[in-house]
Amino acid sequence: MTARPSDASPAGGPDARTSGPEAGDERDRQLVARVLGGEREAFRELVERHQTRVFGLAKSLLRNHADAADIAQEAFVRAYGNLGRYRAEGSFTAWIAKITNNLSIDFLRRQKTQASAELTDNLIEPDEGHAGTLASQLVADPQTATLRRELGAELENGLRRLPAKHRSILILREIDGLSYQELSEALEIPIGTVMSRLFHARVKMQEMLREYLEGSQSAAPGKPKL
Amino acid sequence: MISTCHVSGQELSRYRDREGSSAQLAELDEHVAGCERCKLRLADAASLSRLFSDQFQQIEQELPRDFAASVMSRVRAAQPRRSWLESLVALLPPRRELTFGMIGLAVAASLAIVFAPSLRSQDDRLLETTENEAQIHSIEVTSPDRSAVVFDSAEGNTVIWMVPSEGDGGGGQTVPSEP
Repeated sequence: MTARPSDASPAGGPDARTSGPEAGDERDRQLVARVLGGEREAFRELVERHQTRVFGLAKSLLRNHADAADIAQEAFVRAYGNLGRYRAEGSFTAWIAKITNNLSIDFLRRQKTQASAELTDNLIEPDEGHAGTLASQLVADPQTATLRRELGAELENGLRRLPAKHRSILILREIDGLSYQELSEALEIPIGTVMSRLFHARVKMQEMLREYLEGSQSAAPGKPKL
Repeated sequence: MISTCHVSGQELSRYRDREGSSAQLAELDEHVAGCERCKLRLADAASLSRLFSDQFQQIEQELPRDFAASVMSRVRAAQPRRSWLESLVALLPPRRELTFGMIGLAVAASLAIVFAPSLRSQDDRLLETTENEAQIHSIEVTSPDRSAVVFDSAEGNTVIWMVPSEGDGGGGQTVPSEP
């Protein structure tokens, strides 16, 4: 997991990166070598190390539990079948994320359901006048736990409305904790694009959550104004 | 102070992810310590990350319990693809059983792979020569300054060609070939 300057270190998977990305990557490489050496059952540990993040990415992109489980399973089977192509100098996390992302995008293209409810792909600027709104609400609200649950649900809605490319990068960064280099590998985009895409994805998500907070406060006058 | 902050949202996003050189990060550390605007923006980003963490826990609970077992049952029916070199190495017996004969076989196979294309192309050139050009039977020296070259032409005639050793243009005489 990448170190962060403030709190809220995101979850990083059940065990794949609990001892740091380098140690996790090294363990992945060892497991890959064992599988290629004929020890097929070593692949199970790779699956267990990455299954949550792979399923999470597929679920976030596809919005459907059964489809996500199928795609996640297919991603691992593809990874196993192509393990000889995995380059050990890269991150296995980024590699399996790339496979999952590509399978999910292909699936969405086939289903042709993607465009219906998505936000436009236009870049938006953050509303600086509302900086701190999200943080202050989560801290100040006496029913923070309730609000966090509500915002969690809204986050889910917001993710559904984001373009797939913004959804992917947010999930891979915020949930899976991929570094910019790994994001670049997983999404096959330059580092500069990683920075701008991640920034705009965050801004869109924050704006959606602010809108939700504004809406809920105007509906409930007792709550403090933003 | 808000009025003196020139840090863009993208820069701050990268800073929050601790991406960039240590010098850049140190510079922003110093700036953020005294900038209320950046503190507020970072606090929002941290809140967003907390919400994602909650979301992640939920997804973890949604993961099918038998997921790894399902993957492994499919994997057992498949084999990982290897490169041709890995496949070749996998076919070899353990080192102690590697005999000179097998080494020789491997060397012969390697030579065949490397030189087969050039041999094939030589064959091709040879075929072209015999089909399109005359076939020389012999070269006879008939005098100190002239040689006679005897060959069959493409039309089936035997040709005797007088070749000058130097200066002379030479000349040919066609003789019907023997039955």
